[in-house]
Amino acid sequence: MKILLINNDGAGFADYVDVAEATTVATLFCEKIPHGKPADFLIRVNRLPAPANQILHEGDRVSITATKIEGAA
Amino acid sequence: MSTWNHHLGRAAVRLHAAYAAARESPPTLLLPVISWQDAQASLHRLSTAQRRGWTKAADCERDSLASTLEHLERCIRDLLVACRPKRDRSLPTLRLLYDELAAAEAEFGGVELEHSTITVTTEPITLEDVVLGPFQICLHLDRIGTDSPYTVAALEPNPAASSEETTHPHVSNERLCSGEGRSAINAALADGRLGDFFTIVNRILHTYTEGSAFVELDRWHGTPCHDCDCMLNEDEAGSCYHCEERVCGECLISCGGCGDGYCCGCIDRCARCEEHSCSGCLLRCRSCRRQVCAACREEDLCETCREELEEEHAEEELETTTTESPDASAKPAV
Repeated sequence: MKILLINNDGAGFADYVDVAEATTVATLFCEKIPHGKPADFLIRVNRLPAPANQILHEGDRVSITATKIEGAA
Repeated sequence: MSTWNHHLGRAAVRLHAAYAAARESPPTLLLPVISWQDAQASLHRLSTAQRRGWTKAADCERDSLASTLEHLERCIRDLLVACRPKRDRSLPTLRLLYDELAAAEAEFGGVELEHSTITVTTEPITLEDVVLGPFQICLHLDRIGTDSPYTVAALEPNPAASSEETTHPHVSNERLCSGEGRSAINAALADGRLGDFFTIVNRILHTYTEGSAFVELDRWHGTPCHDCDCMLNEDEAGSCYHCEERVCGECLISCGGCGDGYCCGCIDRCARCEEHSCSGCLLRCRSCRRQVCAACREEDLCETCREELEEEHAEEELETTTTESPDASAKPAV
């Protein structure tokens, strides 16, 4: 099934990706941000905070944003 | 998000119109000339500091040059993106904009719509025990599609002591230097993902990047004296003539020769009178090789060596006189 994944870490791309049926938020996070800790990110499903075990559905919109983003001068 | 909110609906309509207008007028491409000039000036200062052996000033200038070059790199990268053919971005739909504004309202507890701005307010922010207060992130609808469509204003400003315009380590003159978040912000704004845009800016405001700030947080309440670490009173503070570090009035030491002020690391003492003197005013004595000030030397000899030399001369003269005297008194027989 396809979901819209918005990865605000880095370039901030938004694209439709294929995920397996019954994929949870935690599984998707591990796949897409393998070296990240979930506690360091705001994860929203359909613009709402989501628990790690929430199962994703076709057409869901998932956004991942780091809690710490370094500014500059 | 299921009940229609008229306030957000109006904001979404205005946003939609702003996006449509931005698509019709492509952005102007400007080369980063000012940043390039800043880099040239910084490089010139670095060369000067290196040539004169001002190691600390050179270190500062190297950091400044690196920061300017990073900014230049970002400008060029953005320009490259703007030059290349864009993938066909569809105009954000009214529904999407409405949902994004509703998400922002839920995240920030409110979205304010004025004539040409959409604003959210962050919670009060404190970074490393420095209270910075809440900030307003304001999206200017008439600037959508430009490189700076938003401003960040402190509602209860606690600016840096050294710069009234710096209300956050990464905000100066209401401009956020978004650093690592820059690409994500641009992408979110281009797609009409306003909720993501406000969230990314908010997360940058909650992050302090040491070494890349307009004013570092350990200098927020003033510049510490380079020597004793006390906070500087700008009326009494001065800069070391050699390394250019800021030092307080008590730590700034005047050279007894030229009168210029130095920090304790850059001033020496005369080996004879022990008065403070800079390296430019000290000279090595030709005889004893000690560094002495102008008052303690005559030509290339220190006073001590000169006195010793004079004593030696005097003794030699005396010896010569005493050895010559008997001969002089003895009258040759004619």
